[in-house]
Amino acid sequence: MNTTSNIWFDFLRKLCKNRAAVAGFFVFLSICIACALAPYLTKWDYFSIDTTIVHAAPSREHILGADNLGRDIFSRLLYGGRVTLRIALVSTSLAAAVGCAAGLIAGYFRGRADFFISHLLDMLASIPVFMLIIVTEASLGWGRGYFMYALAAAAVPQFAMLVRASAMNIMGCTYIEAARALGVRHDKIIRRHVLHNIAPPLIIRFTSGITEALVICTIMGYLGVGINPPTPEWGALAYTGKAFTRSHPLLIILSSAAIAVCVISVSLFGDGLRDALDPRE
Amino acid sequence: MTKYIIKRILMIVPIVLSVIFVLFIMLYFLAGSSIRQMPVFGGGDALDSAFAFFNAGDNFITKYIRYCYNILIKLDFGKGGIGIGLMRTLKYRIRNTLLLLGSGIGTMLVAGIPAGVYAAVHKNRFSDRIINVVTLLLSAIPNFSTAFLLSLVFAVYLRIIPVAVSYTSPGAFFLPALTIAIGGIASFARMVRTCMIETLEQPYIIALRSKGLNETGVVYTHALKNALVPVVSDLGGLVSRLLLGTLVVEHFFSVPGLGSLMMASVSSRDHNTILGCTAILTVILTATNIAADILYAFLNPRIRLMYAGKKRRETDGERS
Repeated sequence: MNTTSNIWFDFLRKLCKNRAAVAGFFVFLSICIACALAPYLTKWDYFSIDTTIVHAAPSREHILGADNLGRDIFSRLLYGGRVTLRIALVSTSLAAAVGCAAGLIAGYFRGRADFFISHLLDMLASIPVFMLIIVTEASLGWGRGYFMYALAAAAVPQFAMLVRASAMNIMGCTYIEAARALGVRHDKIIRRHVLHNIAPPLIIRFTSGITEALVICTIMGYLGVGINPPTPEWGALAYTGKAFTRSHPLLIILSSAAIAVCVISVSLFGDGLRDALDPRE
Repeated sequence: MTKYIIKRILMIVPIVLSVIFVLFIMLYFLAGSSIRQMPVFGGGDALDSAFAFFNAGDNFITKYIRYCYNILIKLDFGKGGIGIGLMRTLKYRIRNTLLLLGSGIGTMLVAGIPAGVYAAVHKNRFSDRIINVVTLLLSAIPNFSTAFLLSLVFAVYLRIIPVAVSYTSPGAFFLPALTIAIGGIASFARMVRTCMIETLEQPYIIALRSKGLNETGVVYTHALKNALVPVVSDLGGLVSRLLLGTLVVEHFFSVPGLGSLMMASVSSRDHNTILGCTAILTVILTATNIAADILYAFLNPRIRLMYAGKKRRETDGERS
């Protein structure tokens, strides 16, 4: 137990030295917290229309002004972040959990399960992401959050392939053979040895998975797939702002900036993680 | 090698068939059909006769097999929602989408490799920092914002290229293709840079340098080929992201392509068109993946050797 904690402690120290990664982590964390605390940060809700302040400039009452229907932009951005970030985080976590399980079964037990899972994953991976989302939305119903699951399903193969490959790598090691020979149960081997070794690539994959889900989610919001109008979503906000770019560019600039800042901060953090978890240094 | 290539190309067929199968299930069992929404076939007996007319009463497997037979052997995608043969609409749109995607991928490869290599060679210098920051920014800005910025700069302020045009001349595709390329170049250059830095630290590079080989020879003849191996294996994911970008760009610049057709047919519940577009986009995606696989095999001698003839493998084994 002592040695494992030392490894993670080492890794944390290395990560803290990387200023860009730490900054990325805290920027993303503060955006998440700000969105989560949206009801406490603004007194306006995201849906009430006030026609007297259509396209109002930023003022003390409305920090970032109002949009084409007189809704407070700041609160729409915060509540929109809730939708976008929730979809990105939940779908990636779901994909990581399912992908990890499928990859472990395939990579650890091999045999017929491996054959079946690999071919299923190959097929899933060759369905273009947005096709899966659009067809899910078309068949299950629009704007009820189902595309989160389509997003997760589309991300499963990447996680599962990664876990399968790493598990197969570890299965060649003699200490797994030794553990098997000693009669250690499968679940214990998986928990004690396999999962520990899989964790680093899985964590890195998780951060890039979040950025991918974020991008796809905003694109779907922009195209109007899966998000119904009163709900703010960063991509949907950008679409609203697009119509008024020349006269009131604030909305599209802010929503694009929110997406870009999130993607940049998560990928900086991911790069830092990759450097810190690299065993070669 | 030829055997490997043929084997990979033949893999397109089962993949496309299984993808269509999954989508067929989802659309067949879960959704309202477009027939129900046609005002002529309001309901009751009229609806039944409409179902008979469109062969909608056949069971699922018969329909699936007939559909696959039609698109694979006869290249017939059936009829779209308005009763026009789908193949005629599709042909024109496939050309547009392929033009956008192809020029995007081409620009990505041509501009991304030199940028990534240059950054890797000048690691941690000022020019590397600049490339790093610019590519990070460009890869993070969503596609629709890039499209919006480009159209603002080129069409509104500079007035060089018009935005809303009929897509008949290749010049009209400049802005959409540029939008797709920018995101691709940025992510691709970052990938090339990371892999190139790793390769340049390998012992055999030091050996080449100590042998007195000039820098260009080291970087472009020896290191680049090996650095590209992991990059090429990730190319499939990048291409699928570009395809997603194509969808947005088609929407933004209203290019008549497969993506915009699909969006339109989703809102009118035109299942046949959705299926047709999906089949073609899957073929495109799978074909680029397979091209990446073949490129991977060319770059990676281990796979090349695995599929080389038995005799060749033995002689190669003796040599090493």
